[in-house]
Amino acid sequence: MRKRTIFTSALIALTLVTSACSKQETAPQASPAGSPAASAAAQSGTPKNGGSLVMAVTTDPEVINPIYAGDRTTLTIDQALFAPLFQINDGKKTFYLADSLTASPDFLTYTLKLKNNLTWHDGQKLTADDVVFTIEKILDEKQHSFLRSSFIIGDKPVQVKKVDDTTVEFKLPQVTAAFEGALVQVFPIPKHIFENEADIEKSDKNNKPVGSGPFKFKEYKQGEYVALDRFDGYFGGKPHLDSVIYRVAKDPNASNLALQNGEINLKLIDPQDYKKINDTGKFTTIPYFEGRLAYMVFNLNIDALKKKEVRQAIAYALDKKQIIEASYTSLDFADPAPSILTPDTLYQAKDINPYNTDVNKAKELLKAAGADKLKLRLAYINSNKAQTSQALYVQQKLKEVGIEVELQPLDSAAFSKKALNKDNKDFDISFGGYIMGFEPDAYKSLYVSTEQYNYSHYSNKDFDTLWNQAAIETDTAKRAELYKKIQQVVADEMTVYPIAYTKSIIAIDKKYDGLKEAVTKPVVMFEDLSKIFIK
Amino acid sequence: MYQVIGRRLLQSIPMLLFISIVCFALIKFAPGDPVQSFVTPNMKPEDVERMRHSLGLDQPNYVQYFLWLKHLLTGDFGYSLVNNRPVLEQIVTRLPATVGLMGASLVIAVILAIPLGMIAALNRNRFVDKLLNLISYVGISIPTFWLSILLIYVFAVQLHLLPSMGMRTIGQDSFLDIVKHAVLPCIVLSFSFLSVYIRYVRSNTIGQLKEDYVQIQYAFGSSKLRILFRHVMKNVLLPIITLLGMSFGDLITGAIITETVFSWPGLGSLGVTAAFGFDYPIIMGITMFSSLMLIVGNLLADILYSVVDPRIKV
Amino acid sequence: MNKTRWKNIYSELKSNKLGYVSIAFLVIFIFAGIFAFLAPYDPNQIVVQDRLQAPSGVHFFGTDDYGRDYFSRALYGGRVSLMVGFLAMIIATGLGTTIGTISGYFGGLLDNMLMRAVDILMSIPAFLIMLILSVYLKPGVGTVILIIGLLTWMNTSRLVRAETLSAKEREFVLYAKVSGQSSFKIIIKHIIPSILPTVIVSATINIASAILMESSLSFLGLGVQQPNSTWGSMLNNAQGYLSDAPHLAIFPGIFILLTVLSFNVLGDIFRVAFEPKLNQR
Repeated sequence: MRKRTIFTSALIALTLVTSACSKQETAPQASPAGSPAASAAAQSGTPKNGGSLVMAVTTDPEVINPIYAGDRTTLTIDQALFAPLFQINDGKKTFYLADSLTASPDFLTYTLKLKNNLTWHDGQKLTADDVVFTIEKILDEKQHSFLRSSFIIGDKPVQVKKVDDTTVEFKLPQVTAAFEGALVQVFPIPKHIFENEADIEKSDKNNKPVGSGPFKFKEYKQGEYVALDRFDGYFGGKPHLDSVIYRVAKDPNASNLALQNGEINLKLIDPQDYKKINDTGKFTTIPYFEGRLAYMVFNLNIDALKKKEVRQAIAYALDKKQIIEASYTSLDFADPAPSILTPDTLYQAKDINPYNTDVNKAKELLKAAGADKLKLRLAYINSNKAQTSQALYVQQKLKEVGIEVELQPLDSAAFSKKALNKDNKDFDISFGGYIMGFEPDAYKSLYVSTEQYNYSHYSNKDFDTLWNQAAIETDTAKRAELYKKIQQVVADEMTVYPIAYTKSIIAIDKKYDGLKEAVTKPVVMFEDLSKIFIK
Repeated sequence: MYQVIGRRLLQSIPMLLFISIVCFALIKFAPGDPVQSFVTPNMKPEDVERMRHSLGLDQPNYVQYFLWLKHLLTGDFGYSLVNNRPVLEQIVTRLPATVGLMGASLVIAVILAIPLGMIAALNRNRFVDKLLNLISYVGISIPTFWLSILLIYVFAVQLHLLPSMGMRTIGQDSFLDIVKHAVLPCIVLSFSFLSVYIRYVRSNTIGQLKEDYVQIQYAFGSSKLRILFRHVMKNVLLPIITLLGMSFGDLITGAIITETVFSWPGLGSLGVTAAFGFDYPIIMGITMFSSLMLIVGNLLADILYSVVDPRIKV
Repeated sequence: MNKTRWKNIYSELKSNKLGYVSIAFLVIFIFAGIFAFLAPYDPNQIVVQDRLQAPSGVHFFGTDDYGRDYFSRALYGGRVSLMVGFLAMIIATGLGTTIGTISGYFGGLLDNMLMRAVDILMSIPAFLIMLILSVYLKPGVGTVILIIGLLTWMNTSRLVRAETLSAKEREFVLYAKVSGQSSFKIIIKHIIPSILPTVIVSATINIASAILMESSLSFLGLGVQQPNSTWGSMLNNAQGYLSDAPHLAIFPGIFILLTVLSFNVLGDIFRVAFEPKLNQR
């Protein structure tokens, strides 16, 4: 019993000693300065087969079915369990289950050809029947899949038909340039499993998911982990790893410790943790663009912000580089953003007015607009560390031009509720972020005046027309022009102030390789886990 | 005896009903939307509405409540709004993890508190007593999440002695493995319970030692130890039992912070996630369970009380 | 509080050296909070280049992850922590004492209903109430105080009720009743003074647990928001930097520990002083 008391007092002493020691431990190691990408330049060694990969996810998965998946964890797990038809990265198309996708000259018919000899995890053949089934269920209102509206064009559904076992034909009711963007989200689900289910989302067949991805389902221990085993029949070739495990770890500090302890091999880390993790020398750190834009949006319901000179003034007062340093610790982890479209989106224009910092110009504009003693309320999600840093910075910087900023930290539910309220007047400026993918038409829901996510509440008929025209314009040069105009209008009106294209940072144990072939991908970390192996 | 138990259990039914109404009202009147957690800008409002409809969230609140109650009476606790799995299944799967951890911590705390408290009492104001006093003060004053991270850092990361998270090593199902994972969270929880119990045991023992019956036994020549074990212990146990009974209610939700830090797959972490996501079927399920435990716990404490001391009637 | 009680407190303090130490610490912390405006730096000044510096002559407690001076933040943070603790305690003790005395004094149906209500409130998982309240009200200092107060008054009410039950049988209360004093007056003039020891002990425990609870709320993300800080939120932020900047966790952690410890020690001293029979020399 005495041991306990000695134990407890020793504990405190031990902590002080070890924390002091740890500082010595990490100091002498040379941190690979300024070129984080270098440590990721994988010389592919000879792939050994075997071993497992444990990656951290912050929550339990929701329903493990790709036609419903919207949260990060489920999407990540689905990426390994299910294979898509094709994927697009940086404008380049990579075919997975599909072999080719061709459009008719009038762009009203698309023909998709599948690869031969595709199988599901349970051995059944994967054919055009499954693709047709998946699309039909997506379109079925009773199945309430959120992918449905991507396949409704001008109020009419896309029609899908099986031509033969490996060919599927899509007939569009109207021309749209955005069809590939819709199709890229489709990960087929097996018809023979779900065909008799009344409500696929509630079906308990989802408890033992059958997919066609590189790894098949082994077990799910609630609150602990989801374990997947290698699928030898994967069309892309047998995966090198034996198993992949998704470990549920809610607390980010605890999961960082688990990473250092070797209990987790792969996770996304914050820029603030980069130095610490990198200094241990045990991990390959890969910062990569998520195709994400962090932005600040002006609420045009507020009178003070109705004058565009005021908004422009604020844009000139802020310094994007400083914001990035405050919230992402270094310019290595984010690029200042001139445009509302991210670099991976088609037709992102490179020569938009970047609003280089000019405090004097800002003051002039404010004076001219008669707004030199403004008081603004800035709302943001309190659990978001980056937004908190940005809010503090903006508050400090706008003091220089005489604007007093009151911070309104809100929890995400309350924030969403206010932000989605079209008549919102509870706050004047707010932060946000989005990942919209390569198809610019997807941004419509954020910028067209009547759309739900038009947080700025900017309303201009001509602007809306630009979006509608660009959606159906099939000539790429003309399309590029239209989108360039859109970006310039937003920059001029300054309804949305783009801050940065942010990077995600993957930290993976050094013993893994094949990372380049696996392809980093926003949200799910890697696109194809079959390519990863242990050196 | 059985009559009393029966009567108490019967009285608990309207209480549980009331609790469920208060709980439901709290959830529904808060400005949170369960659908919020899986809405992204890619989704059109019609899709969101369809989702809401399929979850039954577009009906008026009192209808939702009565539907929930109706299902409850048939043993159906409903389905989680987030992952569509049956609530009962999720609770039952995680119950052993939480009860096991809390139960073990409580037991360890009591087993240690009794001798330690008595030692402190016997050595009043000497060094041992002062040291135990100080340690118990630290135990009730230290933030649990801090202690948890500290322990993980020292024992898992620096010394590599123990695992830092979860309930088991992946793929393993052995009891020993679970025990290894439980050591750190147990230390955190036991330490805080122990600190409270030691103080009670100590002050009760001191009180008992002054009583006449102790002096008499001493005069008859019984050794100190004998007196302690045969007589004093009984009277010291009484308040501890009440404390334990009251802790029953905390059994399920008392470890949420520890469970979150250690990623322990128990009801506490399930409850926190559900609460943040306004997943009301799960919240209601957990509340019903923990309220039931509270009522049963108080009842058990009263019964044990009368067993230990026949003078006391339930 | 009469003379004997003060004497008891004093003698108890003398024998329990820890008491002096506790009072000393509390006085230091309270003064630090009051005079926080004398802090060397603006606690909210972000200087990104100075992140995570170790304690030095320039920054006594080093800097945090935004480059803000930690010593200044500790001063202002302490002020908020103590304020939260104190005000939450006022709410909890005030509400608890009110309900407890009413319930205990009037007894009968009122007592039954009030105590059932207390039971019901205690059955609902605390974090649920915490979460709902913090979503409902804006996150911030006021909300935190309200949440903690509303979560901790129940225990006080139970204790006060028990004491009231025995106090109301005392002679002076019976005399007062017979002589026709109104219940309200009796409660205020007689019951409360006689149960004051319990209330005081309860109050010190409430402050201690309020300060601890505030740090737990920060951990769950429901606490005081930036740029304001409390020791609890500072401690929470510091967790990610255990290996590269341990000073971030050590300072607020120790302050919380010492403050809570001191209040607990004082609470014990009061308790022992008010009931000399139990722990005589």
